[in-house]
Amino acid sequence: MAKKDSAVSMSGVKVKKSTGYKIFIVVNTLIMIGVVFFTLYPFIYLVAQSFSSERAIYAGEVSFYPVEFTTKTYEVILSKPDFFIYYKNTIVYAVLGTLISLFGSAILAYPLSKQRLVLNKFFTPFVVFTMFFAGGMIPSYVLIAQALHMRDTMWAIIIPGAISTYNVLIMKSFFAGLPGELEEAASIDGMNAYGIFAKIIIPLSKPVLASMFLFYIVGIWNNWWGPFLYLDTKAKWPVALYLRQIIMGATGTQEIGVASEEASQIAANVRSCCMVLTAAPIICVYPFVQKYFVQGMMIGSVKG
Amino acid sequence: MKAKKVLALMLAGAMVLSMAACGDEGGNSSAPENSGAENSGEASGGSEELIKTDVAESDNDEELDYTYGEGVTFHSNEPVTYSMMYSDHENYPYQESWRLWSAIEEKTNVTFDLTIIARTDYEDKKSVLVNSGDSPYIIPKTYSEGQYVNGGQVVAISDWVQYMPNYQKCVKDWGIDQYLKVQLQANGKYYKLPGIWEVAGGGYAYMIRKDVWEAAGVDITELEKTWTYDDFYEACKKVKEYTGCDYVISDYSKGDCLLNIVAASYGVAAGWGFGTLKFDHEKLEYYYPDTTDNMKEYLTFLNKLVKEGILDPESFSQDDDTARAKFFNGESFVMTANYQQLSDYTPNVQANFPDAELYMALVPGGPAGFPQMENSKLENGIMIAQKALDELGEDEFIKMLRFVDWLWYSPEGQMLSLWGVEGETYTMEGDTVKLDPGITYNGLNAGAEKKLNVDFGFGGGMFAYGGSSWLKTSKMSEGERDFNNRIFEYRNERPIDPPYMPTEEESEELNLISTPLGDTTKTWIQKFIVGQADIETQWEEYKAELEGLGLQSYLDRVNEIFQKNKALLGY
Repeated sequence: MAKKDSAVSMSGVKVKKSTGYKIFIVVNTLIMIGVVFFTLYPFIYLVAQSFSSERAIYAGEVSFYPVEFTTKTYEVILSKPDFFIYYKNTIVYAVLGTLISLFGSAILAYPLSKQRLVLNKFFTPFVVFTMFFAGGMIPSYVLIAQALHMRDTMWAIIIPGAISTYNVLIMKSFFAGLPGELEEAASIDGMNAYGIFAKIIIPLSKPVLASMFLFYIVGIWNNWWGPFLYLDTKAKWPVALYLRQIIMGATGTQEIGVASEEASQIAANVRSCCMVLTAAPIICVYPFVQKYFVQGMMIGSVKG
Repeated sequence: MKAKKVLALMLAGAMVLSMAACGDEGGNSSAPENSGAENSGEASGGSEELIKTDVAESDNDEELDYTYGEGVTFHSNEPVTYSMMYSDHENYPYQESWRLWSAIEEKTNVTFDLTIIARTDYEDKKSVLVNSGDSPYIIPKTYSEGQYVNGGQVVAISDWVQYMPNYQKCVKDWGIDQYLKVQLQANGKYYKLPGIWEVAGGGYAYMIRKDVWEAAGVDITELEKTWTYDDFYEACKKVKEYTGCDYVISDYSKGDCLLNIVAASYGVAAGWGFGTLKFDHEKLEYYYPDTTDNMKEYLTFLNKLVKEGILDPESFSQDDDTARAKFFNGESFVMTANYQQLSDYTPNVQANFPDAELYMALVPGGPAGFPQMENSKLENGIMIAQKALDELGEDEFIKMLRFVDWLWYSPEGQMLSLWGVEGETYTMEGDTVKLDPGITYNGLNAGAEKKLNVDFGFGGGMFAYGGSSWLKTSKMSEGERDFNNRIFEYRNERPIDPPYMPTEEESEELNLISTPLGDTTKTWIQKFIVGQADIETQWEEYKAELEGLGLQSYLDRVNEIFQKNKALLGY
């Protein structure tokens, strides 16, 4: 019987599934649900915690949904005087920074992808070298803050890390994989290198640009170290730095000898609120670039 | 192959370069050190005392464009701005509009150019700013200055304190010189102006659920006056019998706070207090406290607590939130805490047990007597950047120091930082400070709409950390004052160990031995307490292992260095 079941109907209209295949489907589905659950659970837990009362969290009653629903912590965080200034700063840094990064990486990756580039044997390792060696914190600080006078400006956040070598290499492989005939055809028609790059290469590279966009924007969005190091004025802080201050303050050991009547008022769920507030906007970006993202990753990684 | 060769060459080149760079660094760092040594020779040759309390006057006091002095408000004729690091507290975030800033400006004509840093990252950024030579002039909230001394970026402030009359008065009147000695570096100078209290006090102790303890038949308020750790053990046993709980004590900070508190009464060192040798004030030498008989007794006691289900062994591994949760949920009934934590935790416990009452019980006594936990009158302090001296020149630099002197060390400045402006944020009724009824602070005027630190900037951790005992008690709530009084009444001051002042090379040499020694000791302490090692049978093994790591030569070396420097310290 089993054999008959598994026989494929010659008409091709209906394919009968074998028992083994059915079992596979069921098991596979279960495993995938499990994977989804384990991936999503931390988020669900965070969201639930962020809306629960502190008592319930300490008592360990929160798992999937908020217990003793409250929005107190959100109110406290959102009512801080400068919260929206920080958010605006983050958006400015992220958008501007991502555009500069994308532009910079693309115009660096494109020539590197051409074998005929003079001294390419030198330039590519030269770029790769920076992936493994860096100047260290104090020299970088002296360079950026003192020599380049970027201290306390948003450029200190955007410019020094604008080009990520790793991303450049992915882009380089992608560009190298585009058919050279297109460029030849264009140049025969009289287009110069800049025209080819802008009108042929860029439109064809949407997948890789989309993934790079995502990499860069998430990177800048979550970056607190650069702002922490270079920004002295509080009004220039991005939201990540501000939320970090709240989280660290709520979880760190309490200051001795200083009155801190508010200290533990929001300690337990403050972490989750902060994470939800930081992660939510950037998660919203994902669906829009996801299809390019998957393509871009695959293409960039296989060829090269 | 070619590529590989190129890469190898590049790597080799990078190595050569970095080695050269290191060499350079070494060269540079030795320069200020040498000059420091020379200066110290002069200093110690010229005068007997290390901590000077005399006050120098400028030659041209009448011509100065500012007023200063004991009982005089610092005021500059021309407006001046000083750059300063600011440690921003998330519970009272910096605001430009704070009354604090305008009040300081009105009195002194001084404004600040602030570098604002979240308090949690303050140390990291301070390190970058100071080491890159880009630091603001005034660097407050410094707990440990040792790492900056050899860089030459901060001023040896002990060379300049004679220009600070209010500071010198505090040092002299409150007997601060012995505490300042602890800050001395190998060159006989110190680099930090500490916050100074007239009296020590406060510190960590046991926060207990008084309602439960009393129900279990322990009269804590009477018992604590003279209780020893044996009484503490008996009391905990009663609580355990009464409640049937798994553990009476479940602590936070990975057990370090508890280990430290108990260690004080046993005269040993563990937990937060670990890493310091003890000084024998009779024999005038250092010894290693953790191989003494007291240590054996200490470990036996803590091990007994674990074995009998009084101390939760998870105290040494769980995170702080878990420990707190157990206390809030009525699974444990004792935690270590300072007074601020008591007021912070009370609402959390009362959310579950409306009748709960928390109480700070005095630390029990032990073989080392009945010590007060806090044995220093000093707080974190202020460093001054070398850049200030270079850029301002000597006269302007002294002027800035006199401003610092006024703001942090004069009664007027301290009053302003803590309570604000008289007639606006507070009024005086005889000798008592009366906070404006619309303002709340530190549990006073609870429920008032405005907060002294959040809305006005006063009473924050940047400026208000020092002063007379009157000022210290003026901000305490009834309960905290009571706790402080109990400490002073029933517990004794602990003697302070002198420093042995190693040079940079000496301390590096000592670190090579002390690091493995410390790690091994800590591991054994934990093993003994939770019962993984047996105190009776393995005690000798523990001592032998420490000997093998060079304990004796370490001690000899430290005592040798101390002998060399002890004349300086007045022994």
